[in-house]
Amino acid sequence: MLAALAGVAAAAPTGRVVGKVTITDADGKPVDAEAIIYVVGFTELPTKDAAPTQIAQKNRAFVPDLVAITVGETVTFPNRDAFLHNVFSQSAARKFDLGSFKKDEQKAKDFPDPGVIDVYCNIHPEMAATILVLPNRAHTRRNGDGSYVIAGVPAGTWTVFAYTRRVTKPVSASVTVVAGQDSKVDLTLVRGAEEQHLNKYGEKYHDTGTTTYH
Amino acid sequence: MQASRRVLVSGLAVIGAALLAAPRSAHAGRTFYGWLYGTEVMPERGAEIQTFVEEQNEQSHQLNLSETDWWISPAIGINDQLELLLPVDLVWTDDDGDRPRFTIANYGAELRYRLVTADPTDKPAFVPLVRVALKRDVTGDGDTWQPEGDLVASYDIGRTQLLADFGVLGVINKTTTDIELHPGVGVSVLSIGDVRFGAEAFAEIPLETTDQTWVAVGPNMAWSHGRSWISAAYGVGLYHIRDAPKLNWGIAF
Repeated sequence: MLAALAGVAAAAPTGRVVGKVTITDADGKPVDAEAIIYVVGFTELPTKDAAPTQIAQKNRAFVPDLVAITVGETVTFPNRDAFLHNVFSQSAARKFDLGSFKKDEQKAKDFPDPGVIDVYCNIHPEMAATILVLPNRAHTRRNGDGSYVIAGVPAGTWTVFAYTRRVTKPVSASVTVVAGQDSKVDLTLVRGAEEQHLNKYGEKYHDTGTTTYH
Repeated sequence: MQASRRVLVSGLAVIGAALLAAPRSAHAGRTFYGWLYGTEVMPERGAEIQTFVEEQNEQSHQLNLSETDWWISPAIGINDQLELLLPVDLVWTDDDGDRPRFTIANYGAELRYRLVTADPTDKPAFVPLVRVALKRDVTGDGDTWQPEGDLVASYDIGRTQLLADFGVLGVINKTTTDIELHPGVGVSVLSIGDVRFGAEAFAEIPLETTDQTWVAVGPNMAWSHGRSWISAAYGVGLYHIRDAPKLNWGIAF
């Protein structure tokens, strides 16, 4: 049944959503940052046999620190640092704790429900990432010049969103997709400061300084 | 004895009142029960100190024997489903007519293996756990070993958890082998924030001498707060014991 639905979706007439996403700080100055653009209003299955999305832990940072996946997909978390890292989330949409793991080990987590998942390391408070778990495959990453293209969007009227980490408020617009045509939507995001978060025990982090945990 | 019981009951009430006013934490406790093992384990490379104090007051079969155990152990997450403990058990005993004594009873190693994932989203409602332990009994006069095992199963229905724990304990030396059964059942309901209330029944059943069997039933409670958790039960004696309170706590680091 699901395979049949997927087949129908694949065969449906589609168009593209294109445009530009501008990111500024609170003073209106341009900011170079990652952004995800996605369309909601319909559901699709994830791409069959797609390789898992990866968020590495490298130089005490999650790389990349923003990814988008389709509901049902998996994210892997390899540790590329020479010391232990942890990966946990207290987001209501997907709570998990992957424990601590060392260099070149990796853990994976599936995401069966849509939502915005904030991911942290319990050892290093400066590490933060966000996973957008979306109901369909109509999502993409902003290019270096701010442009984006989302192909294969079913014809119809939907809502297109742009998201970046530390965004101060959601930005969206309605878009009508016509089969075989481009629909243009430009969006502007305002990026704020990184919010302080708590560790996996719900406590403030202790000052870790430069200590590493081998 | 009545005074000590009042102190214990009022102490539990004070703890309960304090817990109701405490902020919510997102972490579950290690066990929601007093006398029963739970089915939760730590994530890989997690580390925790766990301890409990238990009383077995006025076991009528042995001249009003009273016993208090203090058990303490580090717990280490081997992987996300298996944890290792290295416990030391200290015992205070008071047998009518004899002088009370306090001593190390045993030490050893313990493994707890949860048979299914601990992932909050993926975990099934039915969770089995196997516990095995081997301890060196240092109170005897020879080579005495204490193997232990438990089959624990919990079932979650919304905010309610049902749990059954069937334990076996042996005391083995060159001349004798004593076996004791530790069956128990319990219920725990997530009530306010991370505070849980419930009830449990627990028994110790030596196979060699039926007059040393005891059974207790009573309320339990549990609370977790950040890296700390506690659980407690007050077992009221139904058979061959006056009461059997037990307090567990742990702190992760």
